[in-house]
Amino acid sequence: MRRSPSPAAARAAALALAAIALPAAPAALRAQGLDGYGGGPKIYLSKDSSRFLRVTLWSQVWSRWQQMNPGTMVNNNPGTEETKDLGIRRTRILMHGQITPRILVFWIIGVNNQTFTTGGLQGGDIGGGTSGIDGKRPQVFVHDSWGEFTINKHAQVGGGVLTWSGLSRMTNAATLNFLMVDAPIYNWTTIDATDQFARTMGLYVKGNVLTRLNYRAVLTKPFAIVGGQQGATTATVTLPASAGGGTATVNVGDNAATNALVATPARFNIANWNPTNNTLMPQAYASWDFFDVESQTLPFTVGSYLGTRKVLNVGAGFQYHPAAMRYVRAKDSVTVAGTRRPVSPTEAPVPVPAGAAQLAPGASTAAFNGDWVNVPMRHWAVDAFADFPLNHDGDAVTAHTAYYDLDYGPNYVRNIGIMPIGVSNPGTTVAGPNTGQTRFQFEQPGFAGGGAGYPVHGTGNIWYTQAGYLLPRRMSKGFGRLQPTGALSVVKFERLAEGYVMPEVGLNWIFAGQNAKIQLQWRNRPQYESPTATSDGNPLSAANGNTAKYPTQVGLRRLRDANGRKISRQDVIVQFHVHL
Amino acid sequence: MRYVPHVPRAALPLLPLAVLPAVLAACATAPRPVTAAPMGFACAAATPAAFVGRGAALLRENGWTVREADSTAGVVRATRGPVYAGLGENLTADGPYLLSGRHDGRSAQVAVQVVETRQHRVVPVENLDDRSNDADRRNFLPVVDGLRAFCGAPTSGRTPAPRPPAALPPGR
Repeated sequence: MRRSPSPAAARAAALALAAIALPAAPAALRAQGLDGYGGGPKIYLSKDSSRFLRVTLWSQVWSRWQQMNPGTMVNNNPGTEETKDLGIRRTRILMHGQITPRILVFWIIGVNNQTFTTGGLQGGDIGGGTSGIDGKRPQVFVHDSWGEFTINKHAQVGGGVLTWSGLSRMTNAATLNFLMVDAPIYNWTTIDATDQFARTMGLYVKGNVLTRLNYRAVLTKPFAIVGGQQGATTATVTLPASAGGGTATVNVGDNAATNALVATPARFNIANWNPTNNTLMPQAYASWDFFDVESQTLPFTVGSYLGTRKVLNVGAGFQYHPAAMRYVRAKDSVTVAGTRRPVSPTEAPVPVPAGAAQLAPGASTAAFNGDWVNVPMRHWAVDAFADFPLNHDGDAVTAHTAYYDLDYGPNYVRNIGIMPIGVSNPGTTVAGPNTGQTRFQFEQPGFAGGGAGYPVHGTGNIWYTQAGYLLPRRMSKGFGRLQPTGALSVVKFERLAEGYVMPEVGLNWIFAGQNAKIQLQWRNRPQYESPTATSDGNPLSAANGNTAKYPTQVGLRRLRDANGRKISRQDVIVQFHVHL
Repeated sequence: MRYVPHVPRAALPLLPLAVLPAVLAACATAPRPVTAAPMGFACAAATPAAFVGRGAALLRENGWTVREADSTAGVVRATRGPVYAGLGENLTADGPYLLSGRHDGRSAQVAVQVVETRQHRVVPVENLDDRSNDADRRNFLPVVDGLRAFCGAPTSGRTPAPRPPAALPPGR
């Protein structure tokens, strides 16, 4: 028998109806933004403010001083040691529509990573159209485009081009309230490889259970990798007279020197992205909140609440992409011209797998001394986040730590430099001091290539920690707020014989909460020896003995100077951040 | 012969989606409103009219909309929100909130509730008890603690103290 509602319940329901039906001015809670900002600019579509269109605009402009990696050419200047530049890291428009209390639609469009030399539209130059790619007319593209249906507070489902991801808190990071200038990029494990600027097409279910447990489970179809598409972009440039004149063919474009995602390995047992992948990728992340329960209305996790919330949570997640990676494994033996011989693991794949063999595993010639092996990408991570107001004078602490266990297959490493402006010096050779020998005309880059990249992703593990202290109001005399920050990365990859520890130090000058701020950051990047171009300025050849001197592409060591000290490079970034 | 359905291995990752219709069906059942369990505390020092007057003032000071203030019956009711807060790209939307206070001449009873608009629109689900989350408490506590203090009852001790006004420059 169905029980009739009690009079008290009926009164409560009536008042609830009144609360929703009667016109009510939506209130604003003090948040991490400007006082009175509330949820940002909105157009309300219903009197109870439950239906609305919210618009957010933002721009993050970087001003940088960078020591370039050894062997860098910037705008046709070989051997550039350092560069000062400005660039647009992000400029975007966000639209968040609540069509009904149950139906949400979300959209972000924008531009990223425009510099004076890179980030523009291919062939976009005025005139001859010869430069291929430059910094002009960057492409606006749809970042997020997804819809969501609310079943109840325990489960909401949606689909589209998603930021919703698994693995870790920072894999879903908001970009408007970073504690440091930017994310460490470790967190976006497939960035612009099988995703579109950290977004993928997929379906998700997320929600809250047991009051304090937020979860998100996502099934995506990662983007295909086209064989060598970015590493293959080259241009012929004219060298200045000071560099000997003439012309040289160089890699150009966004991250060209470091983004050869399916470059053919010149040695066995080095995994890279599989250009024939056609599988789905499940991923998930869940976190437990001990104090305030964080909002999961949208996927973006907060970097710093600036003391407006009391948050402590721990989380864990994973990503699993079957057959995402592949490598060439040495055969036990191979028959060439009727003669069977053993294959040494230290020799190179012969013939070098390319063309059809690269795109179709198993389609290589009979003399090929290796086998293509597909392996999954398997990552897991655990993390913790804390943000506490200290209630002295508006001061607060923020801290976040994450441990990533990444498995991209054997010996995978990817070098990444954000907003790259440099490429590798031309690999042209000139006559050497001895007959029959050659030497490089210009210094050749190390493992990360020219530019400002360093090993960011790889099979191995990463421990990343960042922390900040929002100073008391009195210390900034009422003109904004100051937040010193610091981060430390402890990285160990299978392919690198030596790991690295990378410190970062910063200062945030916050004018209007997270809505307007200037962020300063210093970083000390590691440098590794080149696996192919050698570290002594001479090509890899038998004539000069470098073939024997540099026998493998694994076990890479840190670059060192003549005194044996590790070489590193420094960045100073100033970010001007505004959002409405 | 017994028919054994064949499921291609490639379809296995999609199997979890098969439970979605069941989840949707389970959630289609309209939930019953949950009765708020009011918090009672002694308030013999104040009259119903004074209680209502103080309650209405506290509610307005803290951004609530007073829907009913009946001094004779000793009843005050108010609503608030939803309360939006920006978190970068993200957003929190707490509330709307309901508060109902009643004074019977000797004691007071206050009930506070949250309406989850994204769940069937009319579902008061939470009282100010251990299940209330911190975002909710931030909206309730200044009023509830204010009424407790007015009645001489112990407060939660969690209402942040109001910030003292800035000192005026000398000579003004």
